[in-house]
Amino acid sequence: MMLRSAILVVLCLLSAACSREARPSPSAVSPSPPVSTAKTYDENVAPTRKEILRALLSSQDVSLTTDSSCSGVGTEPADVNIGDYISGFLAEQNSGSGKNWLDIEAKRSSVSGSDAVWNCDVVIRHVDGDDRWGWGVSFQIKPKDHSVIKSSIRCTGSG
Amino acid sequence: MVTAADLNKFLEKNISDICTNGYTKAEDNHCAHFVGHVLEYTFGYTCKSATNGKGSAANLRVHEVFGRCPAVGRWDDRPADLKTCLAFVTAKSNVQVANKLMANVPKKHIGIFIDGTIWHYSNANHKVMKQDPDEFSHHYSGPDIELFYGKMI
Repeated sequence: MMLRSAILVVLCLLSAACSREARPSPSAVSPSPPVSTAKTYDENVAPTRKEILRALLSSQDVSLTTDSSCSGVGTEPADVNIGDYISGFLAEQNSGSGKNWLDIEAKRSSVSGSDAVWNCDVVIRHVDGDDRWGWGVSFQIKPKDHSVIKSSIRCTGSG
Repeated sequence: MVTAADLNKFLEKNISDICTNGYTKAEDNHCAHFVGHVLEYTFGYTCKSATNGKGSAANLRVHEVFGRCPAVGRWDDRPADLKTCLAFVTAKSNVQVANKLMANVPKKHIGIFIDGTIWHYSNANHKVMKQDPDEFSHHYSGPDIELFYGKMI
């Protein structure tokens, strides 16, 4: 009898231990605090080239009517937004001759009376003799979350 | 009206000798920029607005100049009495003459034509040069490349 009781106690203890390892039932889960999906950044550290490009890609739906500098800059008359414009010039970098590269930079701007921003420039470049061009976009992003200030978008380039 | 003598003063000059707004990077395209300064085309996207400069503004874009010309057409259709005009070279598929529309493709170039000679900024040579129309028409290679004219704005 004593032996049987001891075995039962051991089984109960093991059972209790296993139940602590097991996944809790849904009813036992306490509600988690909401998780923010927005990234935050060190406001004093310049955005990386990748972060600048990511910000530009987030602006692909901005209309080419956003600023007069963007009027007619698409490589095709039917181009309507920044995504069309950038895609057109990236597609022109398909030549095996010459040199293709991206100029990407950010400079901090702190105008008195307004919040600091990063002034970003992305230029798609190609040089092959007289076939020489650089077309791109300049824009401002907020240092805290790298969101693009849409009204700051300008289309750059000549030729 | 600009004259050949006026344009000859620009021969061999680099864009840094012409633009006082600092839009002078060698890797940028300065063909429309040169024409814009010579002919004082201050409309559209200019070197002044691009740099927030303090000098004279000059348009930077070939397709913007083309669209402003009072009349445009294929070079062979140029009126016989048109002795001074703008000369454009690009693929004909990029141009809608009837709509005065030139797409903003990279391969397009502009110069100033007077009495058989075209003055233009050679981006490969980084200086102002002059050529006859036949040489100018070979600025780019390709079967679709063609010469167009535009009446002075």
